Amino acid sequence: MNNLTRRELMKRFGAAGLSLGLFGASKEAWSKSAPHIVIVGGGIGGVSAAKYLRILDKNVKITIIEPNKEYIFCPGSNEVLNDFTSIEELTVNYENIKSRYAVNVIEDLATDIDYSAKKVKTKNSGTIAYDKLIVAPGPDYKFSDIEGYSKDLAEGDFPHAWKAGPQTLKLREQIHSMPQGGVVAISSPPMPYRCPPAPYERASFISEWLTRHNPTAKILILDSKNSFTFRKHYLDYWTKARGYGTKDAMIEWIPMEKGGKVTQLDAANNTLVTADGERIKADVINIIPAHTAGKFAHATGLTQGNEWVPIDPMDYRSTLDKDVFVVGDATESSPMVKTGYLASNHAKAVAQSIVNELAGKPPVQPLYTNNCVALTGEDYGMTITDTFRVKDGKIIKQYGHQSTELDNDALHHIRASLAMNWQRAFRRDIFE
Amino acid sequence: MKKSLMIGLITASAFFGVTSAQASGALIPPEEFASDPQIPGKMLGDNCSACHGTLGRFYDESMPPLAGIPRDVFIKLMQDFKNEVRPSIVMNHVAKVFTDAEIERMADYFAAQTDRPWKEEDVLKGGQ
Ligand SMILES: Cc1cc2nc3c(=O)[nH]c(=O)nc-3n(C[C@H](O)[C@H](O)[C@H](O)COP(=O)(O)OP(=O)(O)OC[C@H]3O[C@@H](n4cnc5c(N)ncnc54)[C@H](O)[C@@H]3O)c2cc1C
Repeated sequence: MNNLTRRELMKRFGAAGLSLGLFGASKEAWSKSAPHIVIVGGGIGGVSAAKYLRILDKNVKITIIEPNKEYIFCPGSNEVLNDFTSIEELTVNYENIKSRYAVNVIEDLATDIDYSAKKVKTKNSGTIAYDKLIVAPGPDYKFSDIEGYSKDLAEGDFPHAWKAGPQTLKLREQIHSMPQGGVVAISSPPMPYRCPPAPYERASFISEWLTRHNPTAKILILDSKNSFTFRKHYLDYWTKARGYGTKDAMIEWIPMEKGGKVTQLDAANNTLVTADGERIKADVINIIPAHTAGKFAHATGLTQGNEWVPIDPMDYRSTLDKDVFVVGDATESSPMVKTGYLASNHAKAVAQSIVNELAGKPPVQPLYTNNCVALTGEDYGMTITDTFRVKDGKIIKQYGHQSTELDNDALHHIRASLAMNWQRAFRRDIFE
Repeated sequence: MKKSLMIGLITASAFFGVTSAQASGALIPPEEFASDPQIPGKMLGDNCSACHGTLGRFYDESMPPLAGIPRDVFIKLMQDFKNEVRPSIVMNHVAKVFTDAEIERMADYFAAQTDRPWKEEDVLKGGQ
């Protein structure tokens, strides 16, 4: 691979699209002795790992296993609901990762790991041997926590839209075709789930669309928590812009302690049932289910009987197997929250650790930041700055700051454009 | 004793996720980590990429690029952010977590990066 010119690589991996057969071709391209780093999951964590690995090491062989042709970013996907952005804008493909970074992308689902033989099994492409394995499957959803809800219903008339894609578009269409004065009910999940402020961001963007097109409609947030990230900001914005707290309020938020926890879906009657037995009928129902680690992490025993994958925070190495690393939403990383920003930073630590280990160098002390953004509207942004260090094998939150200023339109405006900028820069940092 | 108690509290509050909002503002001074194993400049600096671009090399509407920034300028900026001499919406909170030595290592890292857009890089050939 050292001797391969860029043009040759382009020819092999580029435009025409890489088919499964290329896995064979790659053997030609890379010397047989090159260490093989296999990555399960071509989302934010997995692709960050591939890209940052390649930046550090031109000689390893890198393979991503991912069933989808394209990746649709979740950050920004709430803004699709009010046509503030589009799914196309959030969609990227793997061409760049293949051609520019010489990463082999296999379009398939990984199904199992043979730890002793160091092989990953796939649904259609046989088994793939690895020297180091990075697992980044994201979360799975616990539909069964809400009686009557299911994956099928989520893919049908009750989208959760917590993975950007067809469900996001379905939810958008449902909101846009709702009768005048209709009700949208959002069930917000218990912690931990990815992007803690996003259910409230979602309610805000839906309310923006409704204000323009369906001003007598209502949004009811039924919460399985008693508080949420950026609550002060959201309540402030909803009070000023959406009549929150008055009888004409467009948005109502019902915390768990006031009976907000949803326990059941009566799909036939478009009705949610709460823990107190109250029945709430709505025109659009958006249940964001509780999360657990992605199926693959459970099926392979990486979760070791837990909801999330235990890792050593020094380099996100699985505590089950020293040649397997797990990054992103699937990991037990508290006190970190589950964000793309952090998933990409886990991946950088893994890349550095693998490269050092292959070179016989000692591991590197990590640092993980989560400098994230959120929006309530086109003109109102918020920022969060978290820093995590690792000491004695534990993740320590060195600092966590959330923007607090309420009555400052200029600041809200700057933070909103910062947030939009961040979304674009972040997509490019992972995929460009 | 006091320090470990504080760390315990922060971790415990964050465990409940939502209440971590209340931990907002609690900073463990970076100097308390000064005797930990060194975090290399690259590990520190690559945390900046989501806003400033891969290796600090986005030259567009993103945040200002960092690649090729003279060492002294970077140190002065970060120290001013850290000490709140230079007000900023986000950077004061970003900078105050780093020790002086860490800021210097990041300065070395960014000063050594090619000051050309990342999208022009021939990644496979290298030549950083
Ligand atoms: C509405 C919303 C808004 C958000 N906004 C932000 C934000 O502003 N900022 C932020 O930082 N984060 C945000 N997030 C969170 C962010 O999207 C996630 O934290 C991030 O995607 C986690 O990365 P990951 O790699 O762990 O998982 P993902 O990005 O979900 O990637 C997982 C990948 O693994 C693949 N996969 C799963 N199983 C297999 C298998 N068996 N074999 C092969 N491939 C498999 C999947 O197809 C998928 O492509 C938001 C999330 C939502 C839902």
